[in-house]
Amino acid sequence: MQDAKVLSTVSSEETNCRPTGEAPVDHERLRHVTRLVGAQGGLHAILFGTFFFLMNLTGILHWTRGWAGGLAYLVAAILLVAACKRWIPRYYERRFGHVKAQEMSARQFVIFLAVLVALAFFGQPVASYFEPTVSSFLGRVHAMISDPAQQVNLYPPFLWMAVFFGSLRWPLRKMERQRLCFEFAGLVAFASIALFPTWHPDAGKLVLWRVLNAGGLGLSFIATGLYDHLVLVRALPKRVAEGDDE
Amino acid sequence: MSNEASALPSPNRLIHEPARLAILTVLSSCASADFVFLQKITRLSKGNLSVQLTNLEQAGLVTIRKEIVDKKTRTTVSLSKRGISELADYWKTMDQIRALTTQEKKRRAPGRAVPHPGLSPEPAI
Repeated sequence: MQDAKVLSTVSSEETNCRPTGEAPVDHERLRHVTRLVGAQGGLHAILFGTFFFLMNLTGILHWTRGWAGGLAYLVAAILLVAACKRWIPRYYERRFGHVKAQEMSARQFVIFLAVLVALAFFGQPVASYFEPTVSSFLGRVHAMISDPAQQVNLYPPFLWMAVFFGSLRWPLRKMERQRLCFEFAGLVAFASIALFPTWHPDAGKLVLWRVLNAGGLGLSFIATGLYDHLVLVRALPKRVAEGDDE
Repeated sequence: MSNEASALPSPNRLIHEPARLAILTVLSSCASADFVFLQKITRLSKGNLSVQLTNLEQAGLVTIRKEIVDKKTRTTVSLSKRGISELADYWKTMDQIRALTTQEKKRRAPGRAVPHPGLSPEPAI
């Protein structure tokens, strides 16, 4: 009987009974949620996304030009630093509990340092080597979507495409399927923004489209951060079980 | 049938218990975590979590520290070196068992023989 117990646990890959006994535990999900809380990634991504989004609005909204815009960016930068250093860590600790993220191992640190040094020495030459190819490719894509003035920001849809295809693997766990659906929705949304001028030739005159087009990268960060935060909120209940079932 | 079952490697019984395995899995993904987070993520009651942590600490798999932060006691738990290696061994053993059971399933499939009672897809409770 004991052997049967062991075997049946093994047969379903990462499932074991939930400690309370009602549903199976997905260990990959436990690891993912723990890493998310440790990195405090969700709210930081939202914050940086908002900052990027506001920066990209320069030139689109009239108030962002001149001293008012400069002052707004200064205030936003101060709020960003305060939020990163104080408010977000405090919120995470109160809402989810305290998790100290895993520190970088010596090997990871060496790799990180090597990449930094390589970028410092070879980044510029490599970028200038690939620049004509990338420009020509982007020019062709702009021509395909009838955008000779290159008004459309193509980086967000390409970023979502890379993320979506990077997440494709088989078999997919439930958590990965949900993430893939979210990435597909993001890809469709940003591709629609990029392709909107082909259906609506006067799109350049619409402030909303110009804002969405220019702030695409910032909006992508905000969407990703929101998704990660929702994963945490759903995975970790606000109130914990008080009862004693010893 | 009993010979096949006895040929399988045996996983560490202390780690194999679902609640303790969930705690160790969480701790393996971070440097340390406090009691509140462990309780939220594992959805165990305070008493149960406390008992499981004590068992793990007595086995030398985790280290428990108590510190005072903002006039409140915070209990922080982290995996010990022994805990890290034991957990790695546990997953290795489980992989071996999984490989062996998969082979067994493949071997039995063509003949459509009666499946081993231990090969049922339902998780053990």
